[in-house]
Amino acid sequence: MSELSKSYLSVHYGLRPSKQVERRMIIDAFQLLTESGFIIRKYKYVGMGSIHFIDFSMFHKYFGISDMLSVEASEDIDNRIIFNTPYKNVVQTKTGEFIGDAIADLDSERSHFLWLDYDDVICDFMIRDLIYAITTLRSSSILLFTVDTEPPKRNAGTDSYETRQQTQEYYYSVASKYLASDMQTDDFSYDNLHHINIRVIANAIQSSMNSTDRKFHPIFNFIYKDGHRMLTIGGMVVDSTDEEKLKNSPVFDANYARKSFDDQPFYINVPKLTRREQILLDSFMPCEDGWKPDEFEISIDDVKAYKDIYRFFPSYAELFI
Amino acid sequence: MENAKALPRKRFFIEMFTRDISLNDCILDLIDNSIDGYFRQNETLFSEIYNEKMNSKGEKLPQIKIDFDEKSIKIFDTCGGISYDYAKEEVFNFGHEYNHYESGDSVRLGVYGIGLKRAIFKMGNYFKIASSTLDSGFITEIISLDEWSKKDDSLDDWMFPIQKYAKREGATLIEVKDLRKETSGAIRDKLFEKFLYDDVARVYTLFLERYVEIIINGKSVKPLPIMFSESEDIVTATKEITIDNVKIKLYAGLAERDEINPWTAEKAGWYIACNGRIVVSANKDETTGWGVGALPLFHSKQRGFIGLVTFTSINPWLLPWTTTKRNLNKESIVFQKTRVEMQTIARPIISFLDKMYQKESQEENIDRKIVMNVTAVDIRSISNREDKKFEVKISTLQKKSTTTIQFSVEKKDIDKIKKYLNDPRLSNGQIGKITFDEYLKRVKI
Repeated sequence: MSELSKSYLSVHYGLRPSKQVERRMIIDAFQLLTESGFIIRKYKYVGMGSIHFIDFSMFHKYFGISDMLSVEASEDIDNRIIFNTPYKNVVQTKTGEFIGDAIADLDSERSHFLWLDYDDVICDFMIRDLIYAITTLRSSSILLFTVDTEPPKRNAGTDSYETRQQTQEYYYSVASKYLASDMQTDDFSYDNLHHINIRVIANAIQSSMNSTDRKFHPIFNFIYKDGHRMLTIGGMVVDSTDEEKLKNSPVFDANYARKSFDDQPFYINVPKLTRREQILLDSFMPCEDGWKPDEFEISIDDVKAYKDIYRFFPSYAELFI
Repeated sequence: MENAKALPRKRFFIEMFTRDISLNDCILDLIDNSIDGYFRQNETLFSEIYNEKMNSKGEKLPQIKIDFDEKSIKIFDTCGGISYDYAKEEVFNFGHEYNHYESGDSVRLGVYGIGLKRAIFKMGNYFKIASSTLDSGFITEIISLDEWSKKDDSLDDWMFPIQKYAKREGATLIEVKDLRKETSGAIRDKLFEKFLYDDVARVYTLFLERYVEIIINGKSVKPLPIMFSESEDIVTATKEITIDNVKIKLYAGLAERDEINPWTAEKAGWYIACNGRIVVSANKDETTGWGVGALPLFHSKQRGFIGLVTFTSINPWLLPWTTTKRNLNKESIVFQKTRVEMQTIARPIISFLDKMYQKESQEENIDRKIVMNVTAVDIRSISNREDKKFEVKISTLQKKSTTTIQFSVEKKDIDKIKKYLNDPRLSNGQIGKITFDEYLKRVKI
């Protein structure tokens, strides 16, 4: 049906430690949001489970969300999806439908946790889905939006990437309304592309919320790279009451939380460590800034990176089951 | 402290505010006045305009007759007329008082209190108005507006002479002569009458055949209804909201269609009514949210989409229309908030239509089959419904049981089969089907 839905063939979902750290941080944030009165365990989770359902398993197992919907665009793998669905009394599946179109059927009286978890470079329909979601979801709902921030590929399925100028043309073709008109070609360098994505997303959100009584309050702004560099922007749709509640939430004390689109993203950087090294580092966590172990060579930067994520680092074997 | 003068000037009104309005729209303003006359005499609630209240008793409806040629324009209506007192105190003022809208809950189309004057100024130099209710009446006649406008020394010059009128017939005649050059020029255009007819048919579709009959140069105008289509499987989406004392009802679904009349891009899009008057028709651009936010740019495959938004308020100032009432005040907060709702309600229909026209053969597409079995539904028969989402029910029986096979073969092999079957016109797809069926027959499964 779409190129997107085929990503389950190319990505081994279990071998993505940074994505896993991201999921665990999200669960941690939900616990902190619960302290502020947002009972996210009672929300309905709507995501794109593909055939792996890792997020579904985690949100049910570790956080207790018990009403879930997975939407898959592909029509040809019905049986595979049904076979792989974990917790069949908890997870409903819908196939042959784009997630953006499934939003219309969500119960407007209920809070949702919706993850538009795209594997591809941002494009016009994703922005439309994002806007549709934030203008449709009721206050207190959580929305996450993930996109690939690598330069767009020249032709789908090839490995040749666009030049800066072609990247610029691409971005203007899919999101011109949400980009400043005076941007230079050099702004579309690899190192800046994720910032451009953040700007596009922030502008799209802002322009669509202008005329509503609600706002989108950012909570997450993750950058990580298990292969492709990915961006996840997340936050809560809030009315004035929920906004007050959220602003005072302890979630913003967490090192990964970001309350404004203008803040620098949180870079999930998972240092490569052996099991023995990890156990030793854990015994000193959280460590003082500048500390490093005497037992083996490791840079202070890597220790700092580990300190940022150690609570969320998968401590089991690499494959999540 | 002394005061500086801040007086209005007649010339300013006559020249400035006639520039931005077409002759068509001036005539529509006069029709608005006639319709308001009807609603003044026959208190009509907003809910009734959109409901199933047809002229079922066969009563003769009040008429609004518009007759024009290069020399004069006449509008005669039997909608109830204007009383002497109302004419003396209100009708000729430029704009209404602050508390003008604070009483009553009847439908009203007049907003600014300039339509009548603007129309007359635009059309010609001479005018006469003779009107009466069943209780009182008046006549006003100005031989030369040009002369009238030259006398402009004080506010006392802002008067029109008025006399009592003996008739008591519940009717109004407005006659304009000594037409302005551009007015007679516009009327000379053979298409002017047709365009006016089309505009009236569209703009007053919710009033025609129910409250009034409008006759243009002898031709009774038939309304251009806004029709949806529904069936057991397809339900039009409806939603009601209230923003800042404006009641808003949204309808969105599939347009009317049958085998002879397929969907057309011309009729597709959003229709917007303010107090029952259509201000925007078949809109498919950014005004109504296409190509911004959650909706893509309009594409011809979406020509099955139709939507109607009705804004109603006893205070017409609150409605998002412009002074010509032929467009939207896009900055209006009421409209901006509604536009988000319009996009939300339209989106599933757009997705449905996009899916319907995916590259699949027509026979296999269930959605196409479903839309073949719809029947036309008038807006009034669904206006009382509670909020509903757009729904397409696909019964399990209809669920797709087929799939597509694609593979490459040597061209010479295809040619061999064509030759064998003695039919060179066979397409590759047909050959594929024949060979597949042959295999099934042979293995008997």
